Amino acid sequence: MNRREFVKNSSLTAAAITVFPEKSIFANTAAPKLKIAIIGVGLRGQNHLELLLKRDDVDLVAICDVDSRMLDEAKAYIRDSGKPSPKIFTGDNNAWKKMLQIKDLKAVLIATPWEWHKPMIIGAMEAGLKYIASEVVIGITLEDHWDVVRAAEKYEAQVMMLENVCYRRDVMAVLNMVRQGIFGEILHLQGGYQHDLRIVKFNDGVKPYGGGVEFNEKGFSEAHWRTNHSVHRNGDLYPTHGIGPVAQCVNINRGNRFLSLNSFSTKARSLHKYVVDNGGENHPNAKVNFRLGDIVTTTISCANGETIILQHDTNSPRPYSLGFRVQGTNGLWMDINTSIYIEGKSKPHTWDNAQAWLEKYDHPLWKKYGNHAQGAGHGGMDFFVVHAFVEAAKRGLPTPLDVYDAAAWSAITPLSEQSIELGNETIDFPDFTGGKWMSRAPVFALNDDY
Amino acid sequence: MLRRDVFNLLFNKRQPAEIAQLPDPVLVTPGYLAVDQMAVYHQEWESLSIPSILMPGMLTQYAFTIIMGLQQMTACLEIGIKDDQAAFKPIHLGLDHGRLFIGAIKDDRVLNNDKLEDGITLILTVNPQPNGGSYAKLKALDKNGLTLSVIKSTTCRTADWAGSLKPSPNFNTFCLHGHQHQN
Repeated sequence: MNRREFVKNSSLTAAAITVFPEKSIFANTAAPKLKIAIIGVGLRGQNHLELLLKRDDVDLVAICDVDSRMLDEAKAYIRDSGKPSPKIFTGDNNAWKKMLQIKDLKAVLIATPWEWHKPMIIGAMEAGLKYIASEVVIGITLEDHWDVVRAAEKYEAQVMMLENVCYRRDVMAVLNMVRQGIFGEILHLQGGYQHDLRIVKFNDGVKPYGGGVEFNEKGFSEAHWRTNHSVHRNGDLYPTHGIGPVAQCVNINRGNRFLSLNSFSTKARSLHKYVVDNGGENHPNAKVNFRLGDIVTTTISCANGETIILQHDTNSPRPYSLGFRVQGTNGLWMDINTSIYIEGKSKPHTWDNAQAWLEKYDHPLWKKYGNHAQGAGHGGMDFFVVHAFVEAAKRGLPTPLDVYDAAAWSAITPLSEQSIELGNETIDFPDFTGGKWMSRAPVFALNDDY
Repeated sequence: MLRRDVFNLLFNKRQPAEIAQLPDPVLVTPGYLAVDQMAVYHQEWESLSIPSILMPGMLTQYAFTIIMGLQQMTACLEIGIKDDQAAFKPIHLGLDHGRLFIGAIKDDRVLNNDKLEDGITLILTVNPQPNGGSYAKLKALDKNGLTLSVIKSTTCRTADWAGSLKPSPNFNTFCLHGHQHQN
């Protein structure tokens, strides 16, 4: 199974019937082609590679990866696209630094293991780049997040975390409804990341998904690096898919901000059970003590009085769900039962099927680009997030998701770890904007441009 | 007539007992939460401008917050200093060789020395409780806003916090935030 199939089998999708996108939507651009490079062409990086290769307004000038097998797969994509071959950087863990010295390089997309994001983001800024896109998350410790924010402010660079779920079709329709006051004043939101990743965290060292219980040095792809986080850390390790969309609904960093947070985690059982069930009690990994609680629940308070609950579960057998809920004084949406209730519109005490509402309030971005987004990963979301980054970079404008969004959403991880470490204490949420949140205006997806 | 009364009359030859009428329950907002008519009190000091004794206009019978900045492992705030010191003992709180303390309650955790270089912030929040009690929480944050430790106390009474304050010279910033009477 490849990554696209794994995601398709696991994810909720909002697919429409597809006509493969015409390249001409990108042809009439005001600026010359954007010179961009990619650090990390593993399975996720290859998704972005594919999207960039489909565009006529970017010049992919270089790619970098230390894994020769992943590089070969990336080269195959490039060959099949008919686009010119980019420069290849590989060999050691510092190869990316040499790549960033390429003359006239304008933007970089980072899709490497989490622990590499911060040094690469800052390294790109130090090399003079003004547009940096990074896969989620942007740091490990709270200090990492401050370092990225301070560097972005110092170098006046745009750092956009590629939080694709902000562009999910139903999420954007609900955002449209929020902005039109359909739910009334927003009170409470929920989200999370509940995705059975056991066959991602463990594999046979050859295929990316399943087939064994190896990880770390003997694991392949994400099992090579991601599982280690479950061994050594206990917190909400992957908050941004859940928090990003709900943060947009309540204008976090733009008139609102996170104030405090606490986290609780269950015991850790499921990963050990998986190893024993699939590798036997005598397998060396059966002795590993996984620290990550199977389910981590985090509550966040906001300056404008809203509460948010996030749930993180990448260990348990279960279908995929991000568990969204957006609730206001007039009604609510819940994605798990694909339902909406609006007082005065819905039959009292009765859920409406959300579909009609979501179609009525389909976001202008999806109305314009929905067909073009088909074929892109994650039900089309990936098209939008990359499109937004490229368009902002081409125009020299701020990215719609900026470094303060990246920091606030991603910092939930170290803060939740700290809360659990302190016995589930409620702890303060830092203000990465330095007070600017009070006067910044919302900018995300205000029209059908990007 | 209640079933019990009927039974008593028939079998125990007793008159029905008088039932004491209790007053109807009335819900009121406790006084210490009624801040709608209050004005916000906020005052900040930096370094050498922090007075050795403070007589704030802040009303401690309502929730208040004190924020203290420091780069030392030991610093103490005396709060609730009253004229009659024999009868009313002030509350001592702060950091003692890296351990948070409120009165006799001391944190098990010791803050790392390396946090001092960039400074630590202590935040005290006091919330009055029913029956004259109070809930005090003292937390330490590092320069990144990461909460390092928290201790809580319910041993002090609301009246204990009233009076003047004596901040340690080791504090380099000091801030009071609460409520005062409208002018």
